[in-house]
Amino acid sequence: MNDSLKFLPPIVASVDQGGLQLLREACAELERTLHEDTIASRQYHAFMAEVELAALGRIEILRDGQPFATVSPIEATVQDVTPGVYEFVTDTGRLLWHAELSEDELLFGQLREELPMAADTGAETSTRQVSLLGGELNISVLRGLESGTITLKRGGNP
Amino acid sequence: MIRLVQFEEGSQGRSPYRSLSLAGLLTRIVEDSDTEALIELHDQRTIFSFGARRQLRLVEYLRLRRDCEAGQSWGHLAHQAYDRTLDKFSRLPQDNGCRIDCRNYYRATLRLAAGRQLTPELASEHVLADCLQRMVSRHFELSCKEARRAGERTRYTWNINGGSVTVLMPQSLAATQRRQWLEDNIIDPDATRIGERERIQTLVDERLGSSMFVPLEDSQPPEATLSASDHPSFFAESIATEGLGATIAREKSDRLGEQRQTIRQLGAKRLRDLVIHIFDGVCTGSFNHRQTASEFGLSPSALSRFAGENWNHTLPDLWRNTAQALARSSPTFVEIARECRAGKRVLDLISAKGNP
Repeated sequence: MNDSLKFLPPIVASVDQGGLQLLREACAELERTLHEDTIASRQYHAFMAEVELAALGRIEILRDGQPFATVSPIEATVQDVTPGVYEFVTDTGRLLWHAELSEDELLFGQLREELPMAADTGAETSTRQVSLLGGELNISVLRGLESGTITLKRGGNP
Repeated sequence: MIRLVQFEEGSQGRSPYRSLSLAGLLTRIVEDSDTEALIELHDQRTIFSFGARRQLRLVEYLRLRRDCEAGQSWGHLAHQAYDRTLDKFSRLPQDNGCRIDCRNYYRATLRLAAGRQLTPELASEHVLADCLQRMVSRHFELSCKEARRAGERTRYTWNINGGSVTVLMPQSLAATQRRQWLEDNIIDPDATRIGERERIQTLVDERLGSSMFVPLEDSQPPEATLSASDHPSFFAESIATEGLGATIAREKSDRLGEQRQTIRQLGAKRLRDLVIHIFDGVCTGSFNHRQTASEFGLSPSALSRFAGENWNHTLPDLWRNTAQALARSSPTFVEIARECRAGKRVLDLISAKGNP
């Protein structure tokens, strides 16, 4: 066996020994020792992504009824957001949020001359903030020069 | 069959049910016999998966199960099982004499998930979705058995110990399957023993059904059909007592019907042995892919799809199931994955715009 599946033995061993702390340490050790861009690293990351996916799923974003992006509910940044009707749907088919985003919310437009530095640095505050599922998921809409950005974060304040 | 409704696009025509949680939908169906909630569940909720195929609606999932069964000798009965299962999960009580009531199955699903109400809500939604898939899966398997039982019975002569016993068995079973079933289920057969034919016929009737056919849903509650590994607490409890490899082996063999065709052909026991063999080999560094494939009568490519070594982003079935088991065994493991930020990097890669 080469480096394939190298991530598995330490995870199995720590799980079988029954210690979540051991598991935490095993994962930290894998993070530290697996070199980027190796099959061992890619497999480990894909495996851990599957763990998150199994627990929380993904969120699909539709623009004007068409698939636009698929993101993690943990944290995501969606760019190239242009005016239209957006829907956030869980991978189980539940609609979480829908809204029509306007030019005013997404583009600096006439404000560009007034706020050039903010546009360049991304320091502008969000034009819309939404808290979903009792604060479990927070969405922010930000303006850009040619298109806007939507950020999605799990937990905390929007 | 439930009525199908196309909801109008746009916010004004959107059904209020679109944003209801899965638990909310099932509760409305159970408590209020809410037809709109049932339509939403069937038409919009993509909570099922089959092999590598995700985000399936209930009917899409059942079609895949039906098509898998169609390859068996009793495949023609798979259509009956499909119809019967769909009825179980879509029929509300009516005055037409039909006794099937989907509320019983959804009520059982809610009870099954009740012990695992998690925060965050998204996690809770996925636990309930998994419970529903398991409930549907078990009832499809049960419906297959019912369809086979309900078929005509014909005589079969079983040759044993130089003698023979003739019994009535379901016509849907081929001769080789009848012999195999008898060999597996009749302990210590003896054609010369007095009353042996009656003893064997009684066991056949008990286990494969007799002409006095009684649908199983009338004789037991829906959750009684579930196996131990279908319960949400299974992974946490089993991993703690039996270890990860043995737990995955048991769960895979319990869900034999959902495996790829080549893996299903192994049978439950061989599949369990295979999974334990692979875990042992990988963890001790002695796993030999080609030798394992040969030992279990699989092609190397079939074993690669099941438990391959050389993959990058797409997990073979066994490793995907292992990740899912860990996610369901403990919310802490999910937190660990999150803390390490390992998952996020890959999710970023696969989250590229337009990625289906």
